[in-house]
Amino acid sequence: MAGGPGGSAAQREHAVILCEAIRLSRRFGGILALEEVTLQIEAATIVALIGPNGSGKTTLFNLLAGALRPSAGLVRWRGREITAWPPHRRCRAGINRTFQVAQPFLDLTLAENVALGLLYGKPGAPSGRRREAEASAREVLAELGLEGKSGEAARSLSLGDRKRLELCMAVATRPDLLLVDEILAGQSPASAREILGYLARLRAKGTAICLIEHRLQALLAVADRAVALHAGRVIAEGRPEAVIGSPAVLESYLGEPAA
Amino acid sequence: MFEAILSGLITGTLYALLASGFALVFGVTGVFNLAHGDLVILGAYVGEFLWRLAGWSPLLAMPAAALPAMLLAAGARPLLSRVGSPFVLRSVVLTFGASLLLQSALQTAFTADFRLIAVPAWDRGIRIFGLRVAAGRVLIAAMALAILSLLHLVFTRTFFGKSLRAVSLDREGAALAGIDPARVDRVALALGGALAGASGPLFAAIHSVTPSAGIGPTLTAIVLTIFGGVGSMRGLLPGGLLLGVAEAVAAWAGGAMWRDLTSLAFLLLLLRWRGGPQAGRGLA
Amino acid sequence: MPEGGSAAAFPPARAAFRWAGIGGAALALGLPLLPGQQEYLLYLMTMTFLFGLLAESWSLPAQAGLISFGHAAFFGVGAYGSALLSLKLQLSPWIGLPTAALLASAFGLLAAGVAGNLTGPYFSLATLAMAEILRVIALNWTTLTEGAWGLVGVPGLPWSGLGARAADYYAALLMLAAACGASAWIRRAPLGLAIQAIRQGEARAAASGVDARRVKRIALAVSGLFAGGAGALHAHIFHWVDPASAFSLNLSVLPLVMALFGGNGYLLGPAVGALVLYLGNELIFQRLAPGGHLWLYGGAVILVILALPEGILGWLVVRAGLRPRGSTP
Repeated sequence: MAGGPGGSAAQREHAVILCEAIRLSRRFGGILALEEVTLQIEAATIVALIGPNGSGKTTLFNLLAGALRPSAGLVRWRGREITAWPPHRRCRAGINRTFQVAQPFLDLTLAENVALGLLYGKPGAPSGRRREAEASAREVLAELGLEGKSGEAARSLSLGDRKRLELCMAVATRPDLLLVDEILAGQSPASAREILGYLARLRAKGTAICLIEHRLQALLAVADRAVALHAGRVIAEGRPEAVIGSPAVLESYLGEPAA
Repeated sequence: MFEAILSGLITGTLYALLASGFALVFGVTGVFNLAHGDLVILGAYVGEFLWRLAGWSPLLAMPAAALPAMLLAAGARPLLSRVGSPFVLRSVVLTFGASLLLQSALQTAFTADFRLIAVPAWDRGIRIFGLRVAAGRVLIAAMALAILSLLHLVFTRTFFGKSLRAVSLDREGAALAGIDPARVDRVALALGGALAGASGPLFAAIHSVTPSAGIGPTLTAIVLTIFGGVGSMRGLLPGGLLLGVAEAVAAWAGGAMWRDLTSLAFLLLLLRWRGGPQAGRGLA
Repeated sequence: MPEGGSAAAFPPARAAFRWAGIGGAALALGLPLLPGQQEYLLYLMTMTFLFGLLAESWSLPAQAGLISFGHAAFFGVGAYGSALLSLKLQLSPWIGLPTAALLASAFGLLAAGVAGNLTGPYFSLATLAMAEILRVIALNWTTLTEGAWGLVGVPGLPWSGLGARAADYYAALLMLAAACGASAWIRRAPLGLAIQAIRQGEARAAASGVDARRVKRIALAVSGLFAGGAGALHAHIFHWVDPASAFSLNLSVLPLVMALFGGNGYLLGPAVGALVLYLGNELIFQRLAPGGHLWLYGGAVILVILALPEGILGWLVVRAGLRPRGSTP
């Protein structure tokens, strides 16, 4: 079953389990991209999802966010089964994600991109009005240093800034679980630190974060727990240092038995 | 009933021919050519003109009917590279405009009168399996089948056909393999236009045509192209036969109104089946 | 109106657009009161407003990426609906017209149910098929519609104190203003943002919590309401409805051409497109080439797609320096 301990055992017992994946499988034609993956994510936790390319990480995100339906298995959210819920409904329930390839609305301004999530995300927005939402959007953008460009079209952004905007758009929907897909790729070390700091602040406010990332050192700094996937299966789970150092994980990355 | 089915099979073969040029152009270039039916009607008028003035049989007139449609379609290639994104949607609107222009041109050149190629010898009845059919309709079906078979051979057996399919499946990949996609586009447009024009005289031998009649063949071509799985040439004939029979039986059972409703309902169902977010293309 | 961007840097051009709008509105309101014989002018402007209304209604779902090839369906439902309510139930046009518009709006919901999840050209084709199906039904359901003969004797708008022409004129102007008002409100509301987001990426919009199917339903219902209103008004202006005119392919072609030609990204783009194309056709083109209106509309569409991707309003705005080239309103 899931769950090597991250933090003390007592902490985990009290933690609220937000999201559960139960024996999730997904097939693409003849290829089994994900096989019986079981996973629990608690509130105010950062879970790192690691594994080589093609191990099924993004597929798992798509299943949790509702962009894909599983071939078998269940997704539970706060104890309710949500396997058949479409993405917008999961978003309004508190699950949101960033896309591996950032895809903001290129013809909208940054403020509008973010305001959309404020207006249509989880209920409880400070205001349902467009103008006020765009003003609040500037505050969200300021967290990642984008407020100066809030009036520009997203088309004008560099790829790195588009990834930051992507994160702002997801955060704007006030998620309780945020799925972050390779946000650090292409960011400078300083900028990566800034983003990780932001994620840590979100966790401090109670948000659960699931992180796909190839920069393992960066993960060690923030993750509470790590889950390693290989060929669609969970091969290790537990404290990040332990998972990253485990023989099975090394083998999956290097393709040969560790010495 | 059986005569309705037989007549539907014959019409269906012609439908498949009408759709072949459309499916080819869509598969290769991604253009949903709403002016396709107008090219068919252009060919129909050329055929009717040659028959009325020089007594040419529709079969003889087919190459002459193919020529103007081919030139028009091939000439549109430079325009396509000016179409911005989203390409599919904007190119549909562009061909919509081209369709309006073609209709105006046909109206100016041939007036709005109904035209039909009525070859007396073609009305003679012959018997197939004990059912009576007009000889001309059998000729039309045979001609359509011959062209479709030839197309099939070209697509599967020649290098040219294979490069068409390669471009339709993966434009960048084909370019890397040394195929020039722009050249393939030109050839596909020319061939698609020629097929549309060539089927015109056959169409006019079954239906009377007017300058605005192009919408019929266009819709038929769309129905069959989507039925075959967008871009699939193999699916056209079964789709055409099915549609032809369904229309003929509906018209036999309920009157002409049901013929139109059948093909329209067919289109809606196909769109719901095949037109979702997963719709893709590729010529098979 | 153009919005956003570097507008503040060029106040004179912006003011020119504003004054053109205010002057146009004042002229439109006062036109029937001007002295002189102007029946034909009022008729022309009534038809311009009617097509402007149809084009504005077409433009709303188009902003969400739903390009309709079958707006004649809404128009025809409105036309037949109001005509039948007047003729069979003896309802006043003041009740029949809005009821028929609501009926067309309901048809918009139906269309969203049938075709709402279709992408790009597949949606367009589905709307084309739906309009054709309605035409075939209107042609053949003779007990209700009198078939190809159509319904005659539809009453005009009973607007006491105004001549028939002026009544039609004000009704069309009022409905066009209502459509533009609704459209302006939607553009500024969260819904407008969702509509634009859906056009640019439906999956991404869903990830921001937007229920794309619901937004499309609303867009098509509102669009159906105004297109149906245009059809109903047409029936009361001409006192007659038949399948060939109510479900004419032209009624699907024209709003598309006019909206794209005027500039679909702008609130008044479709109305401006209707003004230029309809008046251009009636006053100039018909005299040069009678019956050749398709030349004009076909040419206009091709010109827009190849050379003016944002329509004439977009072209003017860029020329006037209100917005840098290449950015989108």
